[in-house]
Amino acid sequence: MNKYTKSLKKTARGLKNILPMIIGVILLTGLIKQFITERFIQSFFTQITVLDSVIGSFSGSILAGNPVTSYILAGEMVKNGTGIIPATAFITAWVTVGIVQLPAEMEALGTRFAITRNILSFVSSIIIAIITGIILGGV
Amino acid sequence: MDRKWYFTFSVSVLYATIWFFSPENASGAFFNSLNIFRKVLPAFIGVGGLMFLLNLFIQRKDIKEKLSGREGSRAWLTAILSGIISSGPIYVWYPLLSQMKESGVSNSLISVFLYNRAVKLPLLPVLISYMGLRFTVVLTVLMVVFSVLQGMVFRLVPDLPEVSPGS
Repeated sequence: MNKYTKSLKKTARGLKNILPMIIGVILLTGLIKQFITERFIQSFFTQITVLDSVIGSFSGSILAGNPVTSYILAGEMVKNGTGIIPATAFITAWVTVGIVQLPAEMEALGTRFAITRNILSFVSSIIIAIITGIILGGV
Repeated sequence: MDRKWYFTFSVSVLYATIWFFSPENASGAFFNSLNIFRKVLPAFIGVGGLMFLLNLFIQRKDIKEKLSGREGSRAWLTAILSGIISSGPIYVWYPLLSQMKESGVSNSLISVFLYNRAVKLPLLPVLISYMGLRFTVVLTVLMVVFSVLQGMVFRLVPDLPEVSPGS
């Protein structure tokens, strides 16, 4: 077997292993997009900064999709008076934590790695939000 | 049924249940998924191409030597920059990362790469327009800093053993 065939076979094997998970993640993302609207997300915020930061991180973690959507929603949150810290927590968690993708990440990179990484990212989304708030004078 | 299909099967059962109660929402969700799939396909093909080149030109031992064990600032910088410039949804990168992990790339570098995927260069103008330039600069810098911190935490944690997609 020449090196091209060998490389092609190895690539195909790698993609084939993760494909079922990716199909599942895409189907679940489609479902989330169908049911979770912008208004629905906005309804969770309480105008209490600390609580909203956790809610921001939590909702950012479970939602999936294009980061632009998180920018738009965060912009609306700030306009509606939710505050810069929850909005930052929301954006940061949206792009760094992936509950929907978690099964695929666990399959590809190992359960402990995926869970540890997502927990760390969740916690850091709150810390980043607080630091951003302090720097920008949102506290 | 192969274990790999359990998750997709569960989501399909969810679709079937929703279809039973609300066919229009189930079909709406399915069309959303088709749209996502269409958008993701080029990135998936791109990652496949990268994997092919990686398998063709770089031997496992080369990756292991360059990106593991003696990983220096160059390896970390590579992980940061490649995370920032990589595009497409995170899950299309899993096969490549899984392969790199099998080749000996450390959890710290993989976590740094994954974290820096949060910095979306082409989308920065959009973020600026919604949240302002100052916010965008502060958030971007903090994300890069925290990616390194997360990598360092992974360095402290004893190597997490499982890799094995398909095992």
